Amino acid sequence: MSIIQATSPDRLPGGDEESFVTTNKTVWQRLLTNPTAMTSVVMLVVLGLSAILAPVLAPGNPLKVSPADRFIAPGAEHFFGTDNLGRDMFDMVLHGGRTSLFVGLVVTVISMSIAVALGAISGFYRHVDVVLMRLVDGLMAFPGIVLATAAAGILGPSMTTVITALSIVLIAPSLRIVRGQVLVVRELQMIEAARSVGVPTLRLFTRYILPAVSSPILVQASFIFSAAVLGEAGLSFIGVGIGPKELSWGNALTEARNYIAQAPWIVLFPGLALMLTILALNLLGDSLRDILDPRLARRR
Amino acid sequence: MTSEPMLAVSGLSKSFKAVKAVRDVTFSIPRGKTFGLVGESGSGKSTTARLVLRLVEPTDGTIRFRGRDLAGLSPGDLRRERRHMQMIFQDPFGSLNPRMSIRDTLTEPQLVHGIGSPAEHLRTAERLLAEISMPRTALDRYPHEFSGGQRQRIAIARALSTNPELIVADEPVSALDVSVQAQVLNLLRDLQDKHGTTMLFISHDLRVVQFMCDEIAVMYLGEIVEQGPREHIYGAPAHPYTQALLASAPGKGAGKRARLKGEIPSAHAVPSGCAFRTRCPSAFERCAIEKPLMRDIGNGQKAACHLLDEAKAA
Repeated sequence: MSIIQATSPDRLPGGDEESFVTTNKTVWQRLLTNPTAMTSVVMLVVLGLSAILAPVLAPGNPLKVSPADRFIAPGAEHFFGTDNLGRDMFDMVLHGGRTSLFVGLVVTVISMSIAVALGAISGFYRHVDVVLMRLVDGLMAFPGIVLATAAAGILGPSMTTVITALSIVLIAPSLRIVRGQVLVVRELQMIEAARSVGVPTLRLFTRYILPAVSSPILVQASFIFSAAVLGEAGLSFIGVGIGPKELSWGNALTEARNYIAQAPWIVLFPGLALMLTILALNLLGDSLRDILDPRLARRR
Repeated sequence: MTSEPMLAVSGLSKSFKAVKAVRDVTFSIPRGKTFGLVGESGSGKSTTARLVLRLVEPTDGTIRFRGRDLAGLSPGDLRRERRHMQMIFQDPFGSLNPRMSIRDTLTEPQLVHGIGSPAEHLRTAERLLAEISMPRTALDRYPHEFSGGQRQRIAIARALSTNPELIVADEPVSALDVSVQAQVLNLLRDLQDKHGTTMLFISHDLRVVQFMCDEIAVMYLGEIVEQGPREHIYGAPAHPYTQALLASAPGKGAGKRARLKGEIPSAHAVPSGCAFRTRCPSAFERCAIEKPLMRDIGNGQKAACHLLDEAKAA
């Protein structure tokens, strides 16, 4: 597709006859045709819907104890069986998912927001960077599990404690990624061009820098989501999580581990739900990285 | 109209740590004229362009633009002043935001400078597209849908969108195919005539500069070594560097004069005396000791070379 008019190469053509280069596939088209991405999206939608619709799908009180029904194997009556207190595992997994996924979502939103804001500032303003990066180094050197345990000790085990602790722990790696990306983007010529046009700094962030780093942010968010779900389960499992009165996959596993030999399904189903969630999120992150990478995009 | 030049740069210098990228550059551009800066890569042309627009902070010197010293402006005032001075970059692939439509690209400068209403922004964008001979349908397309020449035309339209008084064009055609270069240069000239814009034009291509510029300054290692009206620079170059540069250009004059040997020295270690002496075919003892000053050789032409002294004395 040549744009040069053979008749008058030095002068531009009159207007409308000029053709443009054809476009590549859009990100959406690439997402829809990527089998891994679509599989993980479907898995996440199913998991998300079952959590949201838990009160409809499993209307019973998931915490209702009925000692007579202990250790019933999975069947028509109880899809996932019952646990040591006679609670229905199907109810527990669905309602537990509400907590686990909610914590994951909130932690992702909080930690990514802070990481993006601070990372962008840190990458753009070099004098802020020096100070901020030392703080991040400090934060990264501090073991997350200790921080969470300490927080639970001070604030008492609750959902707020878990969300706060996980958000803080998960800021640092994302902040580093955002900062690194901004460091690259700020040297691009479009930034200098925008400055020469007279674009104010705030607009420079919102229209130039953040859109340019949105892909790695999206990829990182999916990994943070999985880390948060896993983190909540881990903290609940060791007893410094959301507290035994609430349901979550991690809590369900804590109690179930004593009865693995007797009733393996008590461990199996919450564990499976947790595993599938993490797997789907990681697959999504990986395929997003491929889909959003412009260098890989051309190959498909 | 005052006779004051649109842009008057004096004693402009920039050091990056030990590297003296630009040294004591002085020139002025009259209203509506095109001033060319030529030189090899590493001669400080592009840095000078950025210094003039204060995209890079000068180490020393003054930049008087429209009668005000840019070096003294606060960040806010400088940003507002940018409305009157725009830049066209070398790389049309890098200077446009790939995530902004052409509509947004062309209306943004007006938006950020608070010129007119959104409806007027769009009308200006449509008028500019017509001026660069592009259909209105280009508005909703994105930079990656255009070829290099088309993108550079869009960059030109963006630079014109605030109706600036000065345009700094940093190698605007060197990234383009030769077949497209002429198109873009003609467009630039036509639009300059139409809008009466003053231009600082930077290129390493002597033919391009000859085509575009009224007055030309030749830069070597961060300094201007010769300066004057186009006809004199091309017709009767006074500085050995200008002579060598013209001789190296393919086509006319090739072979008649001494060609340039070697490469431009590092700006870390600028030679003593005359910076060009290490490559100058006519260098003699004085060149290593004493730095030649700019001297007037008539017809508005100036050059910095000891040979001119000798010629005068003889």
